[in-house]
Amino acid sequence: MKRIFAKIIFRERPWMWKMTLALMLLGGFALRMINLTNPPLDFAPTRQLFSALKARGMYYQYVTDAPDGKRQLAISLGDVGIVEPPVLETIVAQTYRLTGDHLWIARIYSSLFWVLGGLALFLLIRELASTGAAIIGTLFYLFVPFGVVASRTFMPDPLMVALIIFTLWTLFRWQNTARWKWAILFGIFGGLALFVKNLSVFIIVGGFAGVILGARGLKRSIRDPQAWVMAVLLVLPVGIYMLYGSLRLNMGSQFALRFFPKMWLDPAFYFRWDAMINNVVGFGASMFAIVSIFLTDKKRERPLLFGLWIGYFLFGMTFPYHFYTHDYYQLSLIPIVAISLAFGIRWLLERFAKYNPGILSTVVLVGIVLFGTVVQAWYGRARLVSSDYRNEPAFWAEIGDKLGHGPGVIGLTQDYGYRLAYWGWQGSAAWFTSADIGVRYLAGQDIDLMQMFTEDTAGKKYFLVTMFGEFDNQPVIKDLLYSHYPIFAQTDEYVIFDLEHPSESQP
Amino acid sequence: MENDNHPKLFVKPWLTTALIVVLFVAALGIRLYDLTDLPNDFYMVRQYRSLLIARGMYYEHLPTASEWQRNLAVAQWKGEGLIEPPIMEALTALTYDFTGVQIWIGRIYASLFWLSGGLAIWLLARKMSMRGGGIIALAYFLFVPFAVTVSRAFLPDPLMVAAIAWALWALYRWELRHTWKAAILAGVLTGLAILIKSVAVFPLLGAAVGLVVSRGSLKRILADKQTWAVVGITAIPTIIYYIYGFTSSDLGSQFSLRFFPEMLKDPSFYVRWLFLTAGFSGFAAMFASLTGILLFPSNGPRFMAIGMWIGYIAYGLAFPYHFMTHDYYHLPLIVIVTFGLIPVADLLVRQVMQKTGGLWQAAFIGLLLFGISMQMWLARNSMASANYRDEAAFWQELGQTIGHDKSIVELSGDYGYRLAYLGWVNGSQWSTTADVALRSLAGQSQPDFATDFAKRIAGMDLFVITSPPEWQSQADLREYLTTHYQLIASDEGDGYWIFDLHDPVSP
Repeated sequence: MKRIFAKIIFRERPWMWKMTLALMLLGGFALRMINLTNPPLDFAPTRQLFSALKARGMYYQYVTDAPDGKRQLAISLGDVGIVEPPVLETIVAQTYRLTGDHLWIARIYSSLFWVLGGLALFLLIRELASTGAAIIGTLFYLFVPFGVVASRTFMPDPLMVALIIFTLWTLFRWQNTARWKWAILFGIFGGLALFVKNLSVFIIVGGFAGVILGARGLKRSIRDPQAWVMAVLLVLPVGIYMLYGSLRLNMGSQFALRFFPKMWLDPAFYFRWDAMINNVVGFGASMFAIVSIFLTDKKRERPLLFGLWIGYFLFGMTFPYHFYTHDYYQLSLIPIVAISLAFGIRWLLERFAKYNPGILSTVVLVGIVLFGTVVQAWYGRARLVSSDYRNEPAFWAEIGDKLGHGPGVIGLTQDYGYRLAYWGWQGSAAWFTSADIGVRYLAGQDIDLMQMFTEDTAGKKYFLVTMFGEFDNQPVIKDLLYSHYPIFAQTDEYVIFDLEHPSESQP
Repeated sequence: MENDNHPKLFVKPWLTTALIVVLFVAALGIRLYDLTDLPNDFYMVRQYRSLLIARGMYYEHLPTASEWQRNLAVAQWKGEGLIEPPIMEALTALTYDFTGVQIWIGRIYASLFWLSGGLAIWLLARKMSMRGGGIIALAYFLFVPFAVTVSRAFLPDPLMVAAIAWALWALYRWELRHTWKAAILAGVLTGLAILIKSVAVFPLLGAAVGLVVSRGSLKRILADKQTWAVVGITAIPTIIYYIYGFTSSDLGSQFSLRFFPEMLKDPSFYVRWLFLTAGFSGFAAMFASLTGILLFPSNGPRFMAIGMWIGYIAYGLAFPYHFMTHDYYHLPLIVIVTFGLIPVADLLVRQVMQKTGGLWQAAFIGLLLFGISMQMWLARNSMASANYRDEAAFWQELGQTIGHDKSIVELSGDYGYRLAYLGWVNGSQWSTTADVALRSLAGQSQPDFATDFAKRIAGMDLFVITSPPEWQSQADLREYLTTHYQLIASDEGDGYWIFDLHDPVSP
């Protein structure tokens, strides 16, 4: 019964599902190429520009035909700090050497990684559930609108998610075969995923723990050298990197302002979390995914799923603030939901095949799936074309020229000054936004705005404001700047205060 | 047809009853939240229209009312054109006899009617021997966010949808029993639904035709006296009402500006329609419901579902403009999607309940309640975020400023309903930009401004503008009024301007 649907649709002709898979992956990739050259400000712009600056800095280390000043500036602007190993940035920078620096190169890579993740997802669900469920689960993964937007960004997350899926696929292969090949591949993929972004630890270790505890048994696993090799390979690259980072790269600061356990006690946190899930995968899909866990085989399928969901839950509990303020933290939820709902789909397809043996109803079902995919793809497309940021580079270039591309600028500008840095070739220190101040209050820090202003503007030449709403939210600073500092330049879209020539009444 | 082959959980009557009671209590509770707020949250024009009708009916026989109020209330009621029989309004007016005029009575009736529709859904699912699916479908019907908002609005639509649900129950019951009693009940309930609001004909005609067609031979269908009886009983009330409407009132005028076949040639109309459909019903639910068509075990309900979808499509093709601009036109969609969800949810619930133990079953119920509570929280947030209570005082004050006995021409954003209802001032309406656009879409030419203006202000005392956006966008009118008439009162903050039409000034 399990493979009835596969028999009906694919008639056990492998070329048919292979062709379907290829079309799905191509469709998913093509969708992500829409509006390719739009500047990457549509989703998590700060994080994307962070990577863009880093990649450009890396690239200019190799550029020989650029003026030395520009080269040095690109390299210094690219020194934005370390969060994760710059894997994607390195790949993109190396590509720039062939193509020149184009921001959309990263978009192509991220899309490609995500789509390749779809391949692994298909193989995983096919083995877990059925071919039909794999097709629908993979369609969900490729075309869910949030995923379409988030998966083509210049961030490590799409690559991380793809590697997580490959890791889970190899983990399940290992669970079923206990072969060294899959154990080592799990270690390699998992190690890579953790290396690319260590936040993948929750999902990967969750899945691994689920398989060890639920499917294979702890006792047996402890005595199994394969399990030990898997664990060692998993932690080795990221372990070395973290050690190196802590000792050499001052990475310890990355862990500040991330952990807010008191939010656990606030019911609103859970409601917001749920709202975020609804936004990412949809209420219906998330509920169906959870219900589908009930339909899994206790020994073979459920442990992996339990592990994934528990891992996701712990991820959210560890980063409660980021979980509802940074939607890309939810990206790994998409494959988890896709895998989970596959069991419900498998079951429904089996029932469908039972009630509808004819070809006509199969065609209708295929039509419904296609219809659903087209609607989702259209939503995704609508999001991709809903905004046009092509006027941004010129705007920031103008400000950069005004400011002179030199040091001594502090700003209340979009994305902590990254837009100014990238398109304006102008470095700047970022003045706190009200959200930054809020998160510090949440962390129990006390902030003296006047003292902070004095310290942060010391030695600076200009104070740039391009976020006027935010400026209005900080009336003390606004009043201080307007009453004590002359305006160096201004338009409707920006104002630059001259900090070097304050008016007579000093603050 | 009913059998006992239900999942264990739903065989225990007390547990099923308890669950259903919890659903209904929660559904009523969320609808009564923020009960006394003004009905500005959803399509207020239509809600205030019903409020005016109900108040007029009540004041007609209210001995304690002052004469001017009675006359005005009755005139306002009579001034509203006949669209559908004022059943909700009459019921509300009767209740005013006990409670006095309360703006929230209509909201309570609408909510209760919707809940009664939920009962019909549950009974229908029981008739199909799909209790598990019935509970999930009922939860969807009661808590889908769009329905929560619309079903508490003082419109005939919640009653119409409830009547559609009851008609579906009766039609299916007739299919099962095929007795004269069942046929008459089916005819009565179907006819009642169409009488309440004639657009119910689209899904119900589709469902009824689908049901009859599922019986097979045309000869048999045509020879069935019961079928003809159902058709006759269904049609009679509406035919009588339309004859009455056309002969004794202006019912015919309701058909103008409704049909825009030009829109059917525009592909973007279909895309927007699709987005609206998926948005109102929820993409996953819509998708599952469409799949549900293929999962009905017999042709009767399957063809009913197909018929309803065809009816919904025909409905949209008949009223393309209103489908894009009037959200509540899509309300029958909820009952259509709910109907299709029953078999899908039932299969799922059966499998979950059969496969898993008591703890899992409890977890499943917990998950259902969790999902519902999340939906309620979202609905509650959206209701709590808007508070219109302060508006009442503004309109009352404006009514006093204008004078209840004045004849006015009004440019408003709500066809003058708030001023009429809350301010007790009747006004003739100056066309809004949307009205002009609608007439233009219908191929009607725009009248000459000066001629139109002169015609409309003849015999009027004042020109009152209560919509700043309209005031801004109608430059001709603004220019003409400010140069030719004296502004006797205005408040830009509150957003009104009053011109004295008796005392023109020389430009």
